[in-house]
Amino acid sequence: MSEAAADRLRCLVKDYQQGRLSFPEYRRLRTALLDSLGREPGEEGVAAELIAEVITQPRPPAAPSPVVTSKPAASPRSRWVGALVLGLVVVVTIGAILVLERGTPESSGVPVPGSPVGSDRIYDVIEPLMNNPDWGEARIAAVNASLLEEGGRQIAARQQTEWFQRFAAEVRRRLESQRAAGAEGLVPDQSALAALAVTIGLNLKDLDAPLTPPPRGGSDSTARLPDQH
Amino acid sequence: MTAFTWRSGSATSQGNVRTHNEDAVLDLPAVGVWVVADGMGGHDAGDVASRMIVESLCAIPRAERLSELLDRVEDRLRSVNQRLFGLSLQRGTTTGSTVAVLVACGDHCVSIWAGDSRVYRLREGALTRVTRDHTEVQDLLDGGLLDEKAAAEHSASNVITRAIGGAQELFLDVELRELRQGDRYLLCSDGVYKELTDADLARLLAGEDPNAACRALMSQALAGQCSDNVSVVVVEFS
Repeated sequence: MSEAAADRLRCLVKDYQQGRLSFPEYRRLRTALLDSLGREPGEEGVAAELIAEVITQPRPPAAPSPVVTSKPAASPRSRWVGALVLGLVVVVTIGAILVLERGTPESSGVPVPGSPVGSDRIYDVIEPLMNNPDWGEARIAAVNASLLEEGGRQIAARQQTEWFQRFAAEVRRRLESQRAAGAEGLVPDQSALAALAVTIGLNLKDLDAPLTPPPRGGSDSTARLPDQH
Repeated sequence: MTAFTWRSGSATSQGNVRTHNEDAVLDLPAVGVWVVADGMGGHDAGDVASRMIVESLCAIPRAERLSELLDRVEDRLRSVNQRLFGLSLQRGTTTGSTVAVLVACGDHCVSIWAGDSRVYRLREGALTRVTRDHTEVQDLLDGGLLDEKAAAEHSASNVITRAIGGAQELFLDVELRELRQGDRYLLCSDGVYKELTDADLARLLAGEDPNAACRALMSQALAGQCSDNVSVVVVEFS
């Protein structure tokens, strides 16, 4: 039981840190898990199933697509919940198709406020970072590389959306915080965060300036990953 | 459920170079809580931060359930985080601390941590690291961008990505382990594992009793350059 319990606890921690569980939900599920340790197998199964059910249901609007984790054999209750979730997914999908077919701004590439309807590759790249407290160099560098692959034109097309502005504000805040802490070398060649800032159109010399069209992706990009020693 | 008992020891030192000690330790066997905190921010900041952590946990009441004890520790650490983060904003410099906590109740223990202070387990002669550092170098290692040798020599090896007081919202990692007879756990600050190899840690941790193991670990660490503060807590379960 303990190995499985340790794995489940790890999943709970991750789900909380990535925004799929609120702190009270995380606490409640963690308590249920730890209190089930040493109980009879049947009782442990109830706690495990409860945790699995809750984790499979993401908090709206944390992610554009549902996060699915492995789940034990479905109980009548979980089958009912599954049918409900499936129904909601079908309704949302039909709605998205109708919106796209009617030629709304999204289909012509004009920025819209809020999260994008349907899939957006730029959003899909930055959203996991926004929901993760861990902004390590490697993670930022990976996001930057993905954005560079998408290209400056794609980024520029989303610069005025609410979600992109929120992302830019977070990058700006982190840069300002590092500068305030006396960090040196906040330039694209030495800092993944600075490189990311350039990629999304921030001006490192004037962080409060409006976003400018970023450099084109690919070989003509001036935004570089930091040196890896 | 097996009722485990435990005995523990602890030690801390400013090392051979630093003029003051920003580490703090807590050895609370009556409750089943042990802590190593490594402050950052310099004198009158780092030591304040690590001391605040230890002081917030030293009066923690005993609990009947592991979940209860974990909640209490987490609540106190979150509260200290708020105070330290406020202090950082007020002072305009980071006042924070890493932390590694071990809590035990019944036949399980939980490690809770933020930053690069570590928890190790010695079981039947095999040393295992329980915690994963919250550092830029660890991220690079996990991303396959560095190997262990390059990581050890990396210029950013001291850059941590998480700490108590480092951000408005605190995310603590948690690891659960089942206890076994004879298990020994080591909590230590980075000054220790940067001075000693894993083989050293395993050999010295296996000392006669927890206090002897602490003395041996400290003695060996201080025999080297020991440019950082060094702190250890050793807990033995039986």
